[in-house]
Amino acid sequence: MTTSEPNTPVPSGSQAILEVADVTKTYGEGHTQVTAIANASLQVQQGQFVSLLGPSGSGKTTLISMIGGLLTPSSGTIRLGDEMISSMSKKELTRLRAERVGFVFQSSNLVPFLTARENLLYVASLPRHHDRKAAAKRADSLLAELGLSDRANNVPEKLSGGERQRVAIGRALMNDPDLVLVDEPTAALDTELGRQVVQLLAREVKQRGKTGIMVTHDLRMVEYTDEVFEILDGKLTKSTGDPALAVH
Amino acid sequence: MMLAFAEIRRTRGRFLSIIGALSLITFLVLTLTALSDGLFYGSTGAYRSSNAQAYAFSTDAEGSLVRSRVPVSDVAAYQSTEGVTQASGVGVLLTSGTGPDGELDLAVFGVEPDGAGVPTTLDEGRMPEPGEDSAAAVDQSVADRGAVIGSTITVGSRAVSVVGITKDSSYQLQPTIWTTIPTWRAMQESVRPETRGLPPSLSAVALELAAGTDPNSITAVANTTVLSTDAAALAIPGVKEQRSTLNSIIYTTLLVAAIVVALFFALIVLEKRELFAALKALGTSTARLGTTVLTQALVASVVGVIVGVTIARLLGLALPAEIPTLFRLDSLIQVSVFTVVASVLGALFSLRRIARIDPATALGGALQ
Repeated sequence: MTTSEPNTPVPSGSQAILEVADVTKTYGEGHTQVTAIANASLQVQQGQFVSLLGPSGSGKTTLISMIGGLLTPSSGTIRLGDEMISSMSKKELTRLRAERVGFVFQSSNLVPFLTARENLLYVASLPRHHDRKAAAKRADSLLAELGLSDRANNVPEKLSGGERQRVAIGRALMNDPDLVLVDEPTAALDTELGRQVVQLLAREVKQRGKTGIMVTHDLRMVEYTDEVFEILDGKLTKSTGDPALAVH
Repeated sequence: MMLAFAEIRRTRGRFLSIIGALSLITFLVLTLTALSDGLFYGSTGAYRSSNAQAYAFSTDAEGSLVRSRVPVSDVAAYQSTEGVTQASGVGVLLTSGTGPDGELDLAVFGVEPDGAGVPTTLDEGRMPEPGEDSAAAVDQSVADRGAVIGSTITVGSRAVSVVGITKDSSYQLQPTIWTTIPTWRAMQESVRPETRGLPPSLSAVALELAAGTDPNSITAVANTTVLSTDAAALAIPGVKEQRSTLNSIIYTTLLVAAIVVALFFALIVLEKRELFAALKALGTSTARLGTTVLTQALVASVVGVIVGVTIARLLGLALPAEIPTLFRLDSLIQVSVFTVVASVLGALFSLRRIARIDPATALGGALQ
């Protein structure tokens, strides 16, 4: 698989859009130092949807936070396309998240006083250069694709849990990001709805040629992903066989 | 902007509560200011409307016209003092008299009509001519009690005919009448029999100064003290005290406005911590979230001020005339600006809290 960006100064031999290399994250100092992530490396190709599987406390949130530019690694590097996330300032990270990363949170975390459509338009207003007309068009087509056209002018309170998560997916895709990070998308949903939401996510990510990473502890959801990474006590491994082993 | 206005529109109730609180605060401050202005302007009109830049009082009078007593010869002494272009005697008598509508409190001013210490705010008619006894110009507040040009005002056994009406020239909240020094002296002897037979005296000497002369640089004649007209206005018993008391209430109330707004937005931000973390994770800058809160504070305070001003004006019209209130445009603008500034300053306290919200907390749920 090749990257779509011809100018990307990619290190030779690597064509992954996302490359995490030997990343460690520690908290505290001296005796009280805790290692949340130890020497993690992974590569994800464009168009891939992968899952990050692990029990709570395993470090999966820490890892995805670093990949999404919310935390800075203690050591190691994270590269997204041509940008070195791991060495960016806070301000640059804010810009990066607005332009190149989409997030789907556990509880949808939509703005409660904005309608579904306005929630999409809000994130469209975040990048420095944005086109209102194009954003309105894109919001409408995303909402239509997610089956939310007739719910577009409702505030989150008037939407069901599944509808809210679909709006959140629309919001994550709104700025045409390179990377979509999904944090336990099914936590607030029942099994069937959760399955539908993950299916929808997988479809959207692949159709649009995005790169997706989903954090989950739910084994039933990994069947919709291309690859499974397991994480346990801060150690990341690429799953080859039965991922159930990692969950216990 | 999108967040600020959408939130106000869709969660109207809570913003109505802060707007209501700010309206009441504005109303309170404005009413207090009107009272403060009413007391101040009602007390000091005779000075503020005067054509004199300074007054000379007897030293023991502490700048009070009613306590001061100077010999007639001081007028001539001041006339020849350097920096003084004109010195004129002023006599003051606080008493009561009878006007067309019956008895009223009065401050009788005896002045030299072509000299210093005369009101410049003649609205109608004329001042008495020099040497014209039994004539007086009266303050608008006397006209409000029924006097017109040609009316008769009686003080003791002495009657004067109204020949003119001046504006904003009351003294110690009392209506004033402006007459000649002989008429004033006759009235005084009529209502204060103990002053009969004493050598003629005056209350003070009003001084017109050469352009650019500092009133404090005038050399005082023996046993007298020179005060600028502004200083003399503040030396009226009670004026300074009333003003500082009411001003401290006003400033305290403005402080309360800032605290109310600070608490309101502190609560709003506390409640939205999770949402703000998510918005930051999505790439919203702290500056943008801060602008949202400040915009909301600005909108709430501007609307609150408009409502408060409206209530205060409507209620001011309904206040009885005995309460000395004065709604001045400059005070109104000042109070409005102060209230808005106090609100925005209050909201500024929330910015630190917003800055401290860590976007990383948006991931991993509430437990981490």
